[in-house]
Amino acid sequence: MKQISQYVLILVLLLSPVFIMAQDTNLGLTLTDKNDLKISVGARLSVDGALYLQDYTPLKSGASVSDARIRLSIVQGKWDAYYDVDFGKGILTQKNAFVRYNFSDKNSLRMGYGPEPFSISYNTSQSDLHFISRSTPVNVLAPGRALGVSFKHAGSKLFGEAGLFTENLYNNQAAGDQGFAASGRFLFRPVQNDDRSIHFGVIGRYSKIGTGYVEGNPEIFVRNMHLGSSLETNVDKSVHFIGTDVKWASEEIKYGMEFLAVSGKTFVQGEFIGSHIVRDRPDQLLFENQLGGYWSWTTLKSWLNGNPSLTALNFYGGYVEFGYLLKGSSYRYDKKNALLTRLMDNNALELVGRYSFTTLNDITEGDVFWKGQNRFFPESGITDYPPVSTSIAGGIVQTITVGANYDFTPNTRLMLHYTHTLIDNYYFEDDNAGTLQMRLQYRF
Amino acid sequence: MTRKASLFCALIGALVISSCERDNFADETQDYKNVKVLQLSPELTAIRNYVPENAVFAHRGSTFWVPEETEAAFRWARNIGADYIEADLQITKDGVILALHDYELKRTSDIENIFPDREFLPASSFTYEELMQLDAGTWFNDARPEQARASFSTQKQYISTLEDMIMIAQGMRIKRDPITQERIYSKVTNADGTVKYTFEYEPDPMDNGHRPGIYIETKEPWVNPGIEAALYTELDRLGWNILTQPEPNNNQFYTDTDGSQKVNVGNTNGKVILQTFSLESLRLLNGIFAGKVPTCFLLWLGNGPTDMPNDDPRTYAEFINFGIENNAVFMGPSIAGAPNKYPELLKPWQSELMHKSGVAIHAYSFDTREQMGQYYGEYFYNNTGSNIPNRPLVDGMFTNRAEMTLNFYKEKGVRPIGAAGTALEVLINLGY
Repeated sequence: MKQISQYVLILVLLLSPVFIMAQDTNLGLTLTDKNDLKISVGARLSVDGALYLQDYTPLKSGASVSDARIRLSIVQGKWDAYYDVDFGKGILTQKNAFVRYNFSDKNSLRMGYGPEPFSISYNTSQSDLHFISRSTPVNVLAPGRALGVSFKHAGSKLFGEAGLFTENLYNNQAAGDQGFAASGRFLFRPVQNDDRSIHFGVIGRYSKIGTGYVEGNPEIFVRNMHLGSSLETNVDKSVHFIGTDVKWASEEIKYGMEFLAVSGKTFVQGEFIGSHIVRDRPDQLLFENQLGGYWSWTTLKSWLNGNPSLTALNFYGGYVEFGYLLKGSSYRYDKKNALLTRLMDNNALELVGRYSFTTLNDITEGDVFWKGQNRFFPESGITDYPPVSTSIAGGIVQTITVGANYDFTPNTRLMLHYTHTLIDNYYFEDDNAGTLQMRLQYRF
Repeated sequence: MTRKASLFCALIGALVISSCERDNFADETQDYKNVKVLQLSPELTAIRNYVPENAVFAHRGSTFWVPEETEAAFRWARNIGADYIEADLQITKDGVILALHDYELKRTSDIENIFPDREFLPASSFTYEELMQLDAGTWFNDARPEQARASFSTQKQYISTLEDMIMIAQGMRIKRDPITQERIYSKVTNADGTVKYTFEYEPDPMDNGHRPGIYIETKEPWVNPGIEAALYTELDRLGWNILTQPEPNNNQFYTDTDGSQKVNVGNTNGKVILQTFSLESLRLLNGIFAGKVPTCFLLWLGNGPTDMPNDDPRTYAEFINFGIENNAVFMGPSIAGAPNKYPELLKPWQSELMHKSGVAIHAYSFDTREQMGQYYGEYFYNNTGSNIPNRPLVDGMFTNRAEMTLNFYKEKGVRPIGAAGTALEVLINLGY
C-alpha cells in the first residue's frame, strides 16, 4: 500500500475546510451595477486529493490544485459577455470567452469560445457538478469547448440549442484547412415547476476533421483523432486506461440522448453518447509513395491486400447518476440552460452515486489479440507481415461512484467520493481500480 | 437519515475493501512467478532431447576466425569439434538454398566489382551461377586484419549453399578444378524453365572425423517466399530429413570408435535444428515439419514485426507460449556484452521462466570467456536478493569462438570432448 504520509495528506485536506468556513456566501462580486452596466468578477478554487488504492497502476496518489479560475462577466442591455481563465496545475488555460445577445429571456445568440451544445454534463459548470469529475463516457466522447456561434431557445416545454463551431481554437492544424462541427441539444420539458422539473431529448453533432499530423517521405497529412480518458480523477490523469487513436479519421457523427429529473431532495440524470467515425485513407497516394524499393508492393491491388480498406468505427457510452439530499432544502433546475445547478444552502449534505459504461472497442469478428506484441492479427493467426487487422481496441471501462458532499455554505463544499473502475482493456491487465478522492471547493 | 448514511458508508467500505484484494508487484524477479507458461508435452520433450545439453553451435562457422558461412568456416567448425554448424538460409532466384546471413552481398563479397549496378540488391535476386562469380573470402582479410590469411583469397571462398554445409558436415569438401581451383558443377535447365545444379564434392583429406549437425535459420517468409517447403525437399534429397529418413534412436551424440572421441550429432535424429525469429516462418515450419524436427524460436527485443516489444514477464511468457504452441522446443534469446552489445534477454528470471516451461535455452552470440562464465552461472550479477536459483542460465551457446566454448564446457565437466586443437592449429591443418 501507499505511504502513510498519503493518509496524513488526506486527513489534512479533510480538516482544512474548518479554517475557511467563515467565508463570504455571495456568488460573485459585483464591481459596478449602474447605467444598465453590470460588471462582476468571480473565482473558483478546487483542491483535490486522491488515493489510488492499487499499487500496480502507475498512478501517483497525492493532492493538487486541479482548478483555479478567475472569471469576469459583463451585462449591458441585451448583451452580455463572459470570460474566464484557469491556472490550475500551474498552467494558464483559456476557458470560456464569449459574448451573447439576448433577444429575449428565451432566445439568445452566443458567439465565441465555450462548450458546444451537446452533453448536459459537459455543459454543467464544475461549480454545479455534484461529482469530483465528469463521467468517463463524457470525458471520452463529449466534444468540449469550441469557437463558434450558437443559438439557444429556452421555452417552457421545448429547449433547443444548436451551433456551428471550428475544430480547433487557433487554426493551428499541421496542414490543410480547419475542421468544423455542427452540434445541437434538443429537449422536451413535460414538467417544469418550482417543485419538479423533467426534461429529456436528443443530442447530435457532425464534425469534419481537419487536425492531424504529417508523416512519411514525401510527407502525407494524416487526419487523426484521439479519444480517451484517465480514471475519473484530476490528480493524476497521466494514464488513459481507455483510449485510442483513430488514424485517417475524416468525419464523425456523434449522437445520443439525455434526461434529467429534479424533484425536491432527489435528482436523476443520464446520458447516452454514440460516436460513428468515418475513416478515409488516400490509398493511391500511399501506394505511389512506397514505390521504388525492392520490397515495394508493385500494384495497388497487392498494396490493398497488405493494407485492407478501413471501415467506419462505432464507439459509445453512457451514465446515470443520482443525488439525494440528506440535509438541505432542495435541488434546483436551471431553466435557462436546462441543467442541474449547485446547492444554495448552508450545511447541506447530499449523497450521490453514478454508474457509467464506455466502450472504445470496434473489433473485427475473428481477429485475435496477441499480448506478446500488443496488437491484433486477422483470423488466420499471428504473423509477421502484413499486419492486416483493422480492429481498434481502446478498451471498455465501467465505473461506479458513490460519494457524499457537504456544503458548508453555497460557496464552500467538501466532497468525498469513492470510484470503483472496472477496466477491460487489451493493453492493460484487466483489473479493478479503486480511487478514494476528496475535493475542497471554494467559489464565489 | 442515520440508517441511510450507515448503509452508504457500508457500501463505500465494501467497494474499497474489494479493490484492495489484489496486491501486485512491480518487481519482475517476483512477477515472473505469476505469469503462466505452457509446458512442453512428453512428445516435444522427446524431440528436445534429440539435442545434447550444453551443445556448442558454431555461429556461421565462426565470424572471428574465418570468413563467415564459407567452406573455410564450415570446415573449421567441423574440425574444431562443434556440435552444430550454424547458418542462415536464403534462396536464389533459381531456387538454390544458400547459407548466407545478409540480405545484401555488399559486406561479405566483392559484389561492387563484379555487379556494380546490383550491389544493393538482395541475394534472392541473383542466380546461383551469378553468385559463384563472387569472392566471399577476401573481404574478411580487410575487415579483420589480425585474423587475415592469404589462403582465404587464394582458395576462393564461395557464397555457400545448404548442400555445401551438409556435405562438409559429413566430412566432404567442395571439389575444385585442379588447375583453375574453381568449383566443379553442372547445370541443367528443364523444359519448364526450372534449373537443376549438380555440385561435386570429394572426401576432405583433412577431415578429422567429427560429424556435427546443422542449425539452420529461416528468415521472414516475405524475404524468401517458399523457402520452408523448399528446405523440406532439399533435406529430403540430401538424406537429412529425419521425417523420411530417421536415424536409429540409439545413435550417440559422441562416439569413441578409434580411441578418440568424436562428435556424432550428425548421425542422430538431432542432426538438424531449425531456427527462426519470424512468427510466420515458425508457423510454416511447424506446418511442414509437424513439430518432429527440433526447432528454436529466436528472440529479439525491438519494434520490428517479429520482435518482442518489451521484456516484462507477461510479454516474455507470450513469446514462450507462442513458441511452444508452434512446437518449438528451444528458445534463443540474445545476450548482452561486447562486442555485439545485443539486448539482454537472458536475465536470471527470464531463464527461469523458460526453464519452467520445459524448453531449453540456446542463447546467442558468445564471443568471450566472460560471457560464457556469466551465463553459465559462475556468478549472478543480477540476482542478488532474489529467490532465483543459481544455476546455468543457458543450455547451449551460439558462439563465434567454438574452440573457447568447447574447452569451457569440457572444463566444467559437462561434455566429453573439448576443442580438437587451437583455432589456428585447425586452420593451418585445413590448409588455410
